[in-house]
Amino acid sequence: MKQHTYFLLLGLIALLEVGIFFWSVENLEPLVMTVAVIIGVLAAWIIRQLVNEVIADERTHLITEKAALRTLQVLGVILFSYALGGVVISIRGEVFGPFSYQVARFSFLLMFIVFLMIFVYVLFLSWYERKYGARGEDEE
Amino acid sequence: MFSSSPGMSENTERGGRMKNKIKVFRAMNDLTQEDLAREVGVTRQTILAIEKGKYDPSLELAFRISIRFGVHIEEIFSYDTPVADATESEP
Repeated sequence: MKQHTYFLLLGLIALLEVGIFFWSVENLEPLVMTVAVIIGVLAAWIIRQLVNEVIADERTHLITEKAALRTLQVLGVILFSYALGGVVISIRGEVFGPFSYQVARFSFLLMFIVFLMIFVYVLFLSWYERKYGARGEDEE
Repeated sequence: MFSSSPGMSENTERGGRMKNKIKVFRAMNDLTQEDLAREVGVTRQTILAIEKGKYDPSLELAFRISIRFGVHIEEIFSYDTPVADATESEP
């Protein structure tokens, strides 16, 4: 399969997913949406295996790595600031009126997600440090 | 001589720059970017980026390219020594 065909099919799957998403929201059928997402991911994976051209190489991997790291940094700072602001405002009292409790709960959840993100990042960092490093090995 | 990992072509920490003659060797071997890309297992865009000096290939890819052309790696890829290094070595 050609690369263009792959992207065309990928676009088609995405369109179908959006359609099913709206249908399931309209008809309050979350199970249909969930199954559609799983099938969509599987279908995308299968058609990717059928492509006989090189889609990704070391340059695309490097671009993805750089973009992912920047995204992590930017979103990490934004989410942390937002969560911290929410927590502080919520602790101070009934700033948001009747919604204070919900805001506090959401901010704490967001803060937890940010810390989880940092934890997972450190785990992966350590994993790759072991994989590509030579810690503790003496000079021969 | 080469960076151990690939990277977007920028001046290295010591101010040097990678150069290559892929375009010349491609012309000598009557190969298109697409042909070379297919033979060394990368995308055409990667060959284009290397030729334009926007991307420094990994050592492995540099070797694959030189093996494809049947020449030594340093015949295709070279490293421009920064001026500062040259003056440092002077007495």
